Amino acid sequence: MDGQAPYILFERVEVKYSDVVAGLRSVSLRVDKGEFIFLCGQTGSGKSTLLKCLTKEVPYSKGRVVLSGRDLHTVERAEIPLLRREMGVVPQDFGLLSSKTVWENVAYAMRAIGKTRREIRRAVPDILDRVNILHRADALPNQLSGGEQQRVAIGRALINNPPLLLADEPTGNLDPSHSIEIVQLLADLNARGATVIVATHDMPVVERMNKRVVQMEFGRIVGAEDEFA
Amino acid sequence: MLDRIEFLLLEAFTSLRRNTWMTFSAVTTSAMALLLLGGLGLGYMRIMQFAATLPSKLEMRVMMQMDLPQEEVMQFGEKIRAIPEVAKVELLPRDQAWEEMRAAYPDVTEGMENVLPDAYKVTMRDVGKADLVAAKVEAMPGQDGVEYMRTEYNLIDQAVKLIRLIGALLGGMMLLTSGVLIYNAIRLAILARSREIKIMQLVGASRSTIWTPLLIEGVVQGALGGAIAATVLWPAFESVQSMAASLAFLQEARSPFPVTMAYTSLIAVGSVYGLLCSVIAVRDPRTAK
Repeated sequence: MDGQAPYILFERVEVKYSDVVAGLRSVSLRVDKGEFIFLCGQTGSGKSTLLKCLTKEVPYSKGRVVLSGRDLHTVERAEIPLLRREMGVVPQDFGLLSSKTVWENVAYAMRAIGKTRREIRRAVPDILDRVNILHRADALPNQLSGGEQQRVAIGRALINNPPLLLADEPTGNLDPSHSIEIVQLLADLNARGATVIVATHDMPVVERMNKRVVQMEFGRIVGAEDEFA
Repeated sequence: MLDRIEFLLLEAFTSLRRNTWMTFSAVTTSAMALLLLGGLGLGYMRIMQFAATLPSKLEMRVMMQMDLPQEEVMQFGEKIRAIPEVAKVELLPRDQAWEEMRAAYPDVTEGMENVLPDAYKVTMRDVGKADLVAAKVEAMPGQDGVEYMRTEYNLIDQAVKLIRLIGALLGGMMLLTSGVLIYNAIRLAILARSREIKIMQLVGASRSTIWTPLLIEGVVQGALGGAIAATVLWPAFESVQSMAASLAFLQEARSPFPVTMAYTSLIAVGSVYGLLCSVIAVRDPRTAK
């Protein structure tokens, strides 16, 4: 925590899903550029809500969220797509299209953000290579293991070459060996400069990676953040 | 740019193919609605054209009493002119009428005195007001009868009223039904494409990229419905005209099917309606933004 401005800042952020259900309760958190953070906690503790505040999928009722110096309250609805191009999101369920091959899944996402066929032909092999799945480029998702599917999902999150990666339970559907493999891949991307935030309740993996941990419970951040450091 | 257009069209047509049966029902129902509206619109237009091309049949003859002084005949004409539903009044002097009759039927009229009264030729503004005008004229003292094509007037008037009523009721209902079906088809498409939509939202695709294919889908459904309606309307129109040709007083009204106008207007109406329904479906608050 040096004197430089934080890359991500949550200041007493509150999210309410209804009058009686709160997503986040006065959450304050600082993340510096290039950090790797695990958000840990039980289901419903607020990990995913915190990530969704950053992607503006969930509105917050109180507090302030700042990303790269910009208060996200000032991001208009029309600007949300551009905001999301500054980050890569890896969903828990992989979110792959079953009728498309690995190559096509990544290419589809690139076409959706307006890349030309030529740009796609040039970029996709490189992206697949970065997540070590190029050799399965022609396979359909149902021909891949869970770990391989998650690699494709991470690859798709890299199409904008984002400085921030948000992974929501990336090991939730994987066995222990594949879980380590995926988190190691995220750590590699972090080593190349990306800031990575991983929401997980997979404590064995968290303990093994020896990274900063933010523990959450009932929508609050609890305990010492660097418990496993 | 071409890449983007290709992507949007591909997405729209993939979705149309995926929801084949829903698309089929939406297209056929909008075709039926547009066929009904188009058919009734065309029928209404043709009847109005028919009425307009037969000015003589929109006229009424008012016979004056034989012994009525000329001054009162002239005053009677002014009274008819004062009726709001009357467009034009023309005096037919008995002497002039008799000369014309003598010229036309010299054998019959030879040696006879003038048996014709003075008369007025009255043209109405609205065919539907013929009975009203006749009643007003018949209530005036000095006339000896009103002649006009009461049956034809009533027939045309009733046809126009019926078409307006059927058009408003059935056409409205069918249009509403097809609108709900198009809306449902788009809602289903949104559900079927929820994964694609989620992916596009996550990677930062613009709102127009996400929703335009669904709007295209609605437009295509409406336009297809319009094209089918025009294609069915064409032979139906020809058949109705053939049947109508057997009625003596309708023979003059026969005209060709307005192909370009029918296709253009029905496809345009269908497209706009399909777009409207899909916009409503996309703007539904339940749609994930």
